[in-house]
Amino acid sequence: MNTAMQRDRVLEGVWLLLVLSTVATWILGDERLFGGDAAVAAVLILAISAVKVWLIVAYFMEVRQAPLVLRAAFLAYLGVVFASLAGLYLLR
Amino acid sequence: MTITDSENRRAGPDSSPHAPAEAGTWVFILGDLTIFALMFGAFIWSRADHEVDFLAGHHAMSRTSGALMTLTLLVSSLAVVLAVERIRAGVMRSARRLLFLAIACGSLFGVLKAVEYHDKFSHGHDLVASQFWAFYFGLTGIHLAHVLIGMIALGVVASSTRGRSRLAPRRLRLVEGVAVFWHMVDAVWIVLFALFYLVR
Repeated sequence: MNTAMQRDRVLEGVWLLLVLSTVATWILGDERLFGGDAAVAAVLILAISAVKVWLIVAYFMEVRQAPLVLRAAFLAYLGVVFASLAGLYLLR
Repeated sequence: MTITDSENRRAGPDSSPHAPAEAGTWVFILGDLTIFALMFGAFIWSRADHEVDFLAGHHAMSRTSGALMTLTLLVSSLAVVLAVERIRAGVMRSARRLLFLAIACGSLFGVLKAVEYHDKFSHGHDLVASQFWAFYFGLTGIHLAHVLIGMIALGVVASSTRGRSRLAPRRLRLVEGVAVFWHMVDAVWIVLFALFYLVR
């Protein structure tokens, strides 16, 4: 298998992970889960969404192979955004 | 840098760091994402002040239709990332087919969104119905505008591959910029899906 085909397989694998995690968050959106405790579901949904966004940024936007400054910028962005969203959700 | 050179840089897993597109594209993308981040934050901040409105809003959302919209954008993103690989390899016909698939998925997303907007309007949920609906129409509307711009750009990319077996490095970087923009639109939707359809 040549490298181009290997790259396609990796991208398809990442895509499958994105689809499966979409289904996972869809299930977590069911309000009967966790005895109706919306906060547990919310934090899990936000955490999975953060991973999904990173997969898109890293593999589809090719930031994984990018210089450190770009990788750091996106990781900082994701850290700040999702920590703030979860924090505001839980604390406010 | 020649095309072969840039191909080689991308080929190996341990090749030196290299980002697609022009540097300016990344400045724009990070700027756009920052504006979206502020809007996400404003939404969650406002939630605490309008808890009843937000709960009622969440109950009116169909997480299944939100998931379907997510899937259409995920298919389109896979098509675009594979199309860029094909363009770099000079397999233009295959690249164009993938780009048309991505545009078709973008159109389907637009149709699903239009159906959803119509459904919300017919139930009296308009822009001024409550804080929740103001955020919903504002944020998804701005996102939808990004989808439309992205589809036009993907169409331009598809037509730029006609009659060429290789793209000049500068043109290739523009194509990569459009692809990066399209993936950003997908990434933003994943957050919108979580905030409006899933988190209660």
